[in-house]
Amino acid sequence: MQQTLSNSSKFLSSPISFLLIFLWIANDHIWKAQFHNEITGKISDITGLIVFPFFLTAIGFIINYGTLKEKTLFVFTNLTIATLFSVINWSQEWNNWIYINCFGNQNGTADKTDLLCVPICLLANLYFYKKYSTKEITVSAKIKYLHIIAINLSALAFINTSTPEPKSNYEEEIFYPILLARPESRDFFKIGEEISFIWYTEGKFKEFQIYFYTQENKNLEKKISIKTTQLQKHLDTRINKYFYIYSSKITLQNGYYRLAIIGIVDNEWEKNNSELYSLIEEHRCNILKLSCTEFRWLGFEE
Amino acid sequence: MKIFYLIIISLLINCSSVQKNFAGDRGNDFGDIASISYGVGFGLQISVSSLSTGIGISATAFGYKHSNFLGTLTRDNCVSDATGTFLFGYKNNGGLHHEEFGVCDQYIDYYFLRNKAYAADDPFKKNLYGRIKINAALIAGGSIEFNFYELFDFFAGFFGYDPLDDDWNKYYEIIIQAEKAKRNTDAQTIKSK
Repeated sequence: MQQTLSNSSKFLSSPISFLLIFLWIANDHIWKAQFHNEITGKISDITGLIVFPFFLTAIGFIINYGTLKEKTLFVFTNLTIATLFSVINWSQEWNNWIYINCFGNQNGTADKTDLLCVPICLLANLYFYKKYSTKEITVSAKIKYLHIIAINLSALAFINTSTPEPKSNYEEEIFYPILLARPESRDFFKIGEEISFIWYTEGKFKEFQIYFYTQENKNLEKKISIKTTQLQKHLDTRINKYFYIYSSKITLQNGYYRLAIIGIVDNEWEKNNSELYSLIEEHRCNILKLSCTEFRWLGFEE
Repeated sequence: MKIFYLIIISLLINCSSVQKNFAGDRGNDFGDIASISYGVGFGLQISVSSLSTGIGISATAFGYKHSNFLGTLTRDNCVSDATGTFLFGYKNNGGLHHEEFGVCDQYIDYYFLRNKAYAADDPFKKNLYGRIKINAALIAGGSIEFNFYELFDFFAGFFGYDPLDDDWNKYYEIIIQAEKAKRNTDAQTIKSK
């Protein structure tokens, strides 16, 4: 009696599968390092999402031969991989969690556009599975070798994808953010009333500046500069983090103002008011030479 | 009935005191007692106190947790409650017994300041010892949780206690008052000199 290969093994031993595996390896080894763009990112995802479920099904079928139907294994591996892939691309936090616990590193990057690959690849897998289920391939020495090579290369490609990349010094460039605890947004104060500012940060700043902008024309109405040496650090024992407290009587006209606190690392940093306003509004000043809180709305009345 | 009267008396005492944020803290404590969420994942996980069992992973897309409603558990807010259990888990240990409700590389004021956020290397939050939680998902899924410690914390709050250290309004009020008192004392010392 002549042996036939499983449908997944037939696909893995096919020229299409070899092309995809070589694309996957070449992309991860060479192209990603050279170009590192959207296309190289997608090549890995598409090739992986097509080849890897076939690889797992083939391995599972060999191990469970006769116990489980290949179709069941194929559906299970596809659903599992699609779910895992969706979870790691849904948000960076989930991605970090999966990478730390499964691969021992934190080098994954969540990209929601990758989710588009999932339905496309699931359809492609279904098409290839159906196509190769109708093909009769008898086992010869050549096919056996091709099969073994394909399985090894798929494993190599997957391991290569999960290998940690060298750590960049990106983290060193990020300054700690400033978190404003008080006053809260939409707090109301009497003109000239003392306001207590409480903010948390672990960054090393030379100076803190408190800005008040008008609601209507975004004009800077008040700026308070405080040297860090003038302030005392306090420990919040509940959460084991340090905070600063500063109180001042604020005299402003009636109306609403936007408040933000900025931490400055050195005096080289300079921005005009409109640039600074845009930075705070977009809350993008944590990786420059300063850190800032997001805007808070405060009201002042007689 | 006695408990009811005690709560009423305690409410009157607390509301008339300097704790102007008392109602806010009680409201938050009440909202902490139960939670419900919707998200993505795979499998079934059950947690009682610090112990978890089941097989699965899940993460919340939106829900009601710690007095915060809808849309809070997103990447933009930098909060994650990714959960994974493989057979048995204890606390938020590393590996596949992991559970965390944490912030990433930015602080999130609400969860962080209310003492509800933690990273994997932080001490396990006290409130999680009181939970009963079921998490089920097949690609899409959700979780429900009831927390006995949060219930206790809610009632204790009426008598001026905060066993879970999560009454942030009261905490900042005390800090501000202490700071003012210190400044007044310093000013008087300088005057007398």
